[in-house]
Amino acid sequence: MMFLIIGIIAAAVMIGLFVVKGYNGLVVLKNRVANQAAQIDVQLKRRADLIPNIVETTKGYAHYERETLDSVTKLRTQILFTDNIEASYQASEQLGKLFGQIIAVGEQYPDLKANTNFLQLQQELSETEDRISKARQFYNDMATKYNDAIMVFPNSIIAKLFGFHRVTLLEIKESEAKNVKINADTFHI
Amino acid sequence: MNKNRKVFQTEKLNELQQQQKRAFLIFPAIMVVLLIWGGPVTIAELHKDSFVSEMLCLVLLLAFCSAMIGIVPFYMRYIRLQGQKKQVLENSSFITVNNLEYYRDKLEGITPGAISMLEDLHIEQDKDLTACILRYEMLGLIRQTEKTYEKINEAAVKKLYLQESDWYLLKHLEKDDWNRELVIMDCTFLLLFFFPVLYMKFGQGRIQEQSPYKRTEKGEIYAEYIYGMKNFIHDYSNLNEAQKDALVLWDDYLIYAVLLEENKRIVEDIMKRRERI
Repeated sequence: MMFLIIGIIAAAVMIGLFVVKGYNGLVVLKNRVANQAAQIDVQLKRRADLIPNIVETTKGYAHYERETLDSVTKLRTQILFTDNIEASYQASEQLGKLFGQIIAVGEQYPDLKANTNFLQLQQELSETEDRISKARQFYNDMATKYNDAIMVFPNSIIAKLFGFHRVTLLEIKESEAKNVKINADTFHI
Repeated sequence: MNKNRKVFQTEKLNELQQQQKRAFLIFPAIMVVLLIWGGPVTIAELHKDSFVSEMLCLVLLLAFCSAMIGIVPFYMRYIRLQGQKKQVLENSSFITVNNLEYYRDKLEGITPGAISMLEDLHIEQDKDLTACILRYEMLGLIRQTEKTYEKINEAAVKKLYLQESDWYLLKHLEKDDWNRELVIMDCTFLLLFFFPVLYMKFGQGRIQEQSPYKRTEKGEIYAEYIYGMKNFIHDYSNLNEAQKDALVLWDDYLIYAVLLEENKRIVEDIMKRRERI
């Protein structure tokens, strides 16, 4: 009888330790997913911060429709002041398109194309785009790790018990999966 | 400023730690041999009335004999491994100033060879060469052909500021006369039991010898960023599973993963290809 009680206690302790270990592992992964999501947000805000400078630099040379400038301001505010990552992400997508238009219009003006400030901002924008794209790729990797962890047995039981849910992966835009182009000026590794 | 040391958990260090753990297996191994050798005869001699207590005594006796027989070879092996570990630790540790745990941005202005050197003060030919090949492919300097690599953008090669080591590698990749170091399997472990003195002198090969290099102050700073990058790739990505095609998506990060021993698959693929040619 005593051996049975000792056995039951030992088994309970083992199960308890196993649950604690599994739970802690999932918490770490969940926090990393949240951390990486925040990194995307940081980069989106960084890009939004570049806007006033770009608009200001190009305004003197090129003429934009009032509607375009209003949309830019509205989207920028949305990105900077929202706590919802999904909303921030969508606004940023639209802003990226408008940004492309502004740059394309600006590039039609030779004086502007030669402007050092414009070139620097363009370079900075391109670097930020790259960072956003990489942050999203890392987010997707992290989310995959987390999703895998909560689905495999026996973690799936712990996940159900403590309410760990799957997270959605971000779609990678086609333009981000394009071939890397040779750019001798951006030699950096 | 608070200065303390951090260590790159390199593959060599992991290997040595594993070997140290495995060194303890000497004792159960000797026990098993003794049990097979004299076990059945001794067990047959035990009295049925006091079987449990006599069996317990037998096990204790076996443990004691194993400890007596195994202690010298165990100690010698353990000490040997400890010495090697100390050397690896010395090469792989650096002074941290910012206590950086993760670093997410690209490592600007530093070549793959330098990253590898700053990690453990050694160049590991296979992975470092693989990283260089990936980097040249990424920059569009070379292209993989059926048999070798060819230079595809002469103008870009001339325009880029390449270091001497880059030119050397580019030249040899094009000529297809780069080769691998021979890896000789180490069987000197067997010496431990039969000729322990010889083992201490020649055994186990030197996994990593003392490096003639030392990190400069700037090198220590870079080492911290590299350490942060290694942790970041390890904890925040699945780059260990990535294949060579993922270079278009991950560019520099895939190169770092190869260099920092987070992806062995690509190194193996490229080296296998080399063997097939």
